[in-house]
Amino acid sequence: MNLTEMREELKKVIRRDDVELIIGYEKGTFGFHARASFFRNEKDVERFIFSPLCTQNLSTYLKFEREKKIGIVVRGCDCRSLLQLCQENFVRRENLLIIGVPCRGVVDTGKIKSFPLHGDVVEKGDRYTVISDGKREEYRREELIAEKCKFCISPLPLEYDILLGEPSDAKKPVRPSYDDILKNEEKSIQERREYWDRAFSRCIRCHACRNVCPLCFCRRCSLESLLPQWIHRSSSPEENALYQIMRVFHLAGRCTGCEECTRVCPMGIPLRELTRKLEKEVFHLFNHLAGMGVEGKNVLATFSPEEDF
Amino acid sequence: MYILKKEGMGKWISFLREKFTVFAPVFDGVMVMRVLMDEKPVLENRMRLPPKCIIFPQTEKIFGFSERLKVDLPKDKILLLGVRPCDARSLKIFDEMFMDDPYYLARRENLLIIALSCNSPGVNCFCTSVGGSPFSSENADLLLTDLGDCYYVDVLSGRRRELIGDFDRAEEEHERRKEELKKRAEKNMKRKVNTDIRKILQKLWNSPLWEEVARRCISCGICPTSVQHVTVLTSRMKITGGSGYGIPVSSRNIPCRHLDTIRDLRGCTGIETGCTTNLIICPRILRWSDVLDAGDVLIYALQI
Repeated sequence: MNLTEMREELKKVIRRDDVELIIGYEKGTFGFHARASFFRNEKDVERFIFSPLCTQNLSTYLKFEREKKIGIVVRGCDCRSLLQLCQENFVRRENLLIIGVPCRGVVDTGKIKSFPLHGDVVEKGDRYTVISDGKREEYRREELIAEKCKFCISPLPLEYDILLGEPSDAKKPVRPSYDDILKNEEKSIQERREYWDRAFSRCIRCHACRNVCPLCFCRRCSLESLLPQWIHRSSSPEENALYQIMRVFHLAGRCTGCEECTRVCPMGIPLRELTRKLEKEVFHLFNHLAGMGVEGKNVLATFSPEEDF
Repeated sequence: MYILKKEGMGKWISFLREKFTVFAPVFDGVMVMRVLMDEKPVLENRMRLPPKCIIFPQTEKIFGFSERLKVDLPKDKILLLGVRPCDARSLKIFDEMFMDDPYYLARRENLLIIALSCNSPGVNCFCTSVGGSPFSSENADLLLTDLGDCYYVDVLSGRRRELIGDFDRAEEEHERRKEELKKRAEKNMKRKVNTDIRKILQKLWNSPLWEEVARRCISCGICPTSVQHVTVLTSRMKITGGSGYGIPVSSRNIPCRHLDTIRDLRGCTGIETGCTTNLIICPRILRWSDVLDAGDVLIYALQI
């Protein structure tokens, strides 16, 4: 499905009486990066785009948007966040109109060598072409693709009301694999300690990782609690480590691996390694993956008498 | 004016390290400014965070007391090596804003800046639109220019004895090469920002535009940290509840934050520095120059 057809499809959605708003993507001001956009009428929908540059997980905005019925454009990984939110009764499935996009993987813009101002990324076969101001740069797929896409188990949204494209357009899913994490575990404790000390000493405590996470939605966050103060707000390697460990533990069995935290970190802290580690532990212990359906149960909030400790 | 050969860099840095705490850009996952130990500084790339993070540490000891109050003024002699001209220019705003802050003044007095001119400005940089230049020497004590095999050194302050090591005299040819680079860099500055809209933006306080812009913002703390000249005073979003998590992003935060960076504060000129660090790292692709652009559109629509 090309962009014009996608827009036509979205226009049909926005014409419906029960849908007030569609959350989708549009071009950023400079014309390269894509950003979130909120479409309220057919004219707005003209701005809609979808390309390998649409990297953001739009389900974060459900934290802020409280409208009647929201149409939301999701890829496979974003859809898992949505379903997890439904499982946790944060949003109601009937209040969502899930507009799925079969995903072929997104690019990590940090891996593009030049820093393009205008232009686009076009995918053809297993190659990406970065077009910017008339110049073309060719990349192999593995060179540009985001790390999370290499381990994607659901490129096609697991649940959708409308699909922009054919299910066969999505790339092939892979089986859950944690090879990268297992490799890290082989390192000695000393080595790992040094690695994370260095990473956490960079943290500026901007809390973008927390704010961007679709599943971090507590109204009263323990970070903001002053009595008792669990974590100091000032930035120091120990407190930063504690903050991240606490954040990741709160996401155990809930994190769907959209890796927005890693993408937004301005200091390049490899947060994905922490979230994936917890994901791996939960998967191995309970054979559970988060956000695989509306009806699933939260693994750490469920108890079965037959459980063997 | 002098010439510093690239081979002589290491020796010069050890000479500086004897007298100062030298902060320089190093690569540690991302470009950060750190106290230079034995590693080589990476001068080619821009840093993620501005030098303001060194001048205003996130936490510092201000005073202590047991029986008597003991005020701790910072005494370290700090030297910032390899900051960009826009970074150095941003100090002008702090100088005016914190002119009677003893902690800032103590640190500022002990601060020396060796700036490095931008031979190839970033694609989003726009310092020429706000009165700066990729070769601006404002607030710098020395300005280095990379000529390929050596650095051209402009000496700009009276503290040359403390800073100048084993340098050669510059020749006319070096000067010519520097001028050429300067012209080319200014020509390559593609992005232009219309700063005449400052006054009009203030009138747009109640515009519906902010709602739209604020929707996208996730209220993280990246932009107040990474924009060179935003101070605790100006980044009011931290106080007005922007960081109060879980509540919808207040559309007031955006004009608060963005207008304050533009607005004259305490009579100071409020120049922007044309830096784009925050453009590169905003997680939601919402940038303050976006706001300037968006303002442009709105002004057009309203026929102001």
